Amino acid sequence: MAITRRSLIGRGALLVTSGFLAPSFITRTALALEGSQPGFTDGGGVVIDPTKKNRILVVLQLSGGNDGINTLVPFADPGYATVRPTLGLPANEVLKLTDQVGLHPNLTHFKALYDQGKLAVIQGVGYPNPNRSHFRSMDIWHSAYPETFERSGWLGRYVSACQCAQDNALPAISVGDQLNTMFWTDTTLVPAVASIGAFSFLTDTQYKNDRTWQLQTLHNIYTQAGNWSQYESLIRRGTLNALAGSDELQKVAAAYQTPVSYPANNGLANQFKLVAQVIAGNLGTRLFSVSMGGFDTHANEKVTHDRLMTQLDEAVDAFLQDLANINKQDDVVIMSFSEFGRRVRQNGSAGTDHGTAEPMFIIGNKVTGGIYGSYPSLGDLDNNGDLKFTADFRSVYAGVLQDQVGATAAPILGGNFDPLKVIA
Amino acid sequence: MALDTPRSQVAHLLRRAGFGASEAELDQYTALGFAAVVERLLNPEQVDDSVSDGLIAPLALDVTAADARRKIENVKFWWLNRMLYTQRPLQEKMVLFWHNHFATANSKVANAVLMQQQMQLFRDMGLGSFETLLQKVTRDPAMLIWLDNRQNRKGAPNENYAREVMELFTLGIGNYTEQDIKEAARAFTGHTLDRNLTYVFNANQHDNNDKTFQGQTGNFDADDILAILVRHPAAARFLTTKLFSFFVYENPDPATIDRLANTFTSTNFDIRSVLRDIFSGPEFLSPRAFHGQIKSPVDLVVGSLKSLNVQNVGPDATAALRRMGQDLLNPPDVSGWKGGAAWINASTLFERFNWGNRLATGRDASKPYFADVPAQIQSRGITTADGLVDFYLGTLVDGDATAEARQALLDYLNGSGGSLALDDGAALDMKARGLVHLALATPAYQLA
Repeated sequence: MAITRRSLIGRGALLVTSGFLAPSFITRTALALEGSQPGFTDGGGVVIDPTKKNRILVVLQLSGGNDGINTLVPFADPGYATVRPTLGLPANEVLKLTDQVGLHPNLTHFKALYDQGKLAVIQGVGYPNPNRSHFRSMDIWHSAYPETFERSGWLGRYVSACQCAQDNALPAISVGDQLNTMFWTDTTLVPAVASIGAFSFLTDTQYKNDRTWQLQTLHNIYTQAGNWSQYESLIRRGTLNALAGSDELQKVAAAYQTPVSYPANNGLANQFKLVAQVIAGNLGTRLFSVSMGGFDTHANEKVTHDRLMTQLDEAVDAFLQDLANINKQDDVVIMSFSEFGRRVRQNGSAGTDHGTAEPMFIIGNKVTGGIYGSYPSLGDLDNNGDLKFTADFRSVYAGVLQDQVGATAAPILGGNFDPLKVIA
Repeated sequence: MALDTPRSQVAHLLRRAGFGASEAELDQYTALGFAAVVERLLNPEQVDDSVSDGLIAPLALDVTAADARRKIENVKFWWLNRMLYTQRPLQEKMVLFWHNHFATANSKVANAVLMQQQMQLFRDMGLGSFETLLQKVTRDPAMLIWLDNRQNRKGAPNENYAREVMELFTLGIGNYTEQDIKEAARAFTGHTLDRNLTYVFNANQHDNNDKTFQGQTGNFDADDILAILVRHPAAARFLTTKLFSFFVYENPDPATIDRLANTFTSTNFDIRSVLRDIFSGPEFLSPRAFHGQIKSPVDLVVGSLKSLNVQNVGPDATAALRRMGQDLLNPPDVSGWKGGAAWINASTLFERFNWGNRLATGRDASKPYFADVPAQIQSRGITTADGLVDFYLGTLVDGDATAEARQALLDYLNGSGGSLALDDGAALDMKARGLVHLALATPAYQLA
């Protein structure tokens, strides 16, 4: 194990409390505790590429299983109309990328990004022996371990390996009130942030001077050493982690008010707005997850999917405008995924059941736009009536890790996957 | 310390089988004795709940409000108050359990009346036969909308309900094939809703051909499939593991589940019998069980209201629950809330602590969340700072605090080098309320 500042700090030394509580003291304590957890490894051979230190990755999760066939439409395939008699999108409405495939009609900003060479579309992404359970398949995409049950998430393993939590309370942020499992590890905590305004320990407004005492007391309680249970340890680390990030985020909130008008009633747009706010604050946060749900369209799919495509398109567009406004457009890449695509043939309720392979989108100024891989055949399906995948999602992760995150992928993904090169 | 007195055992039981208890409730329940409390909880129909009904009645559960959002918020708020006031806490806890098990969300159902109806089904049937409950849930209008079975027709079936009934409601993943899903979906065809959103069986849309399901072949209807599922050995283990994990601790020993699964099967899937086995079993009062779970947001919110005798809950309490990660009647997906470690992250911890601050600083009797801390101190005859710390650590965390944590709280009360004057009204108002806030923010308070 490499000698790091962390490994030199014994737990006990931190327990001497100072008389005056400065926020930075909480921060340092929390960061040091991160490294002192049992089970921490130094990353097992992950090499960090310093030239990527300004690069930022935003992972966009589409929850519920997005209908990839009606997102990236194989309009020229005569089989398409057969399997989608009422759900099929007319060829003249599809936003054509090639003479074979086109985007859902509501993805107009995605089409413009494609025309500008800033949108990469990876076709037919999946993994061997596809699982059609939402929960198991989402776990597989989060852990990047399809064959075994692995608790940790792929980006969590990166945050652990890079030791970036050592000097920064916010190396990554999971946007929303639940921590995205892709960030989970047993040793390093990534904060979930639902709202910057609420990300603060409030105290009695009638006695403002008592706040220092309350924070001091909280600190004394939470930094005490002990043989804590797994849950109590989680609560202790989570609290110190939260306190450490809180002051920084409060400053960020005051520093930048976006002039971009994000679309209303669009949860994804609100999440992107938070991400841009944090990026504008230059806190060194390099990884974010955002998500939108509602893609589990078993019945009456058209009206729902049309609306979701519009929300997705408008949210991404607003975010990119915001990035341009703060001059970060060259640093940020967005990568989208869903736990699976949907059944090729529509069901009897004008919807689609759970399927397999799906397209992924990678967006950014440094992205080499275009269509990657091959579209799975609608005529050569597996014995469940689903697409046979043509690209392994771990190759996509490997490329993003190498070219945007700046880390050797194999130790993080638990194997060598040919990195798909889409980012310059 | 841990569960070594009758009072601490009953408090533990009420945290798990209910939503916590005020000091006064704890006095009453402890006087009955642990075994009698278990029976009282298991037999809610024998407990008069008219006082609680009377308290909730003025909330005027208005599901006719024109604003759809208001309607569902009204249902949530009514339910939260029911959890707070009912004398049948296990019945209500089982509503929450089944709501999490058959997790149905208003985000799609979009009908507050049907959501309320589904909760009432759980209230009425939640302690009875699991097979009967499963049959009722399969015909429940909110469920028929939520998992699309109302549109499951012969010829081109919709697999949504067939998959989740096996993966999440009965067997767990790995105990069925994709072909089982397709066959079961055919058996569920025709179970639908009429125009008034009332359950109806449409024989014209039901597939009457043979299905081969879990190795058996026949012209199976929905109830035949459910009968096969509840008798599958995996179902007994899946259900009892979930119940045990909800009420005691996660990852139970296989021997524990052997016993509970046997109870489940030998009593014809009687939930009440399984619960009796859980609460009277050796695991329930073991050291591993004490503070061995993370409080769900509902447990934290309702329990804190009880502990501090907060009388008027604000209608925004349900929004606080949502920010803590548990939006009632809107679980994140059909698998329900993940629970356990997933309740804890930076955002939800702040929400928990800030909820505590809100209650602790509730000084105004004319506004929601009035917590009469001075009255509580007075009624307990507390005259020293030590007494104050010990009372709140006792009532809020069962004394589960290290000597160092206790000293930190004492130092907080006394300030630098001084000592808290309990007869100084302003000092007491600041420090006693601050103490309550800090006790609610301790690690132990996050545990059930």
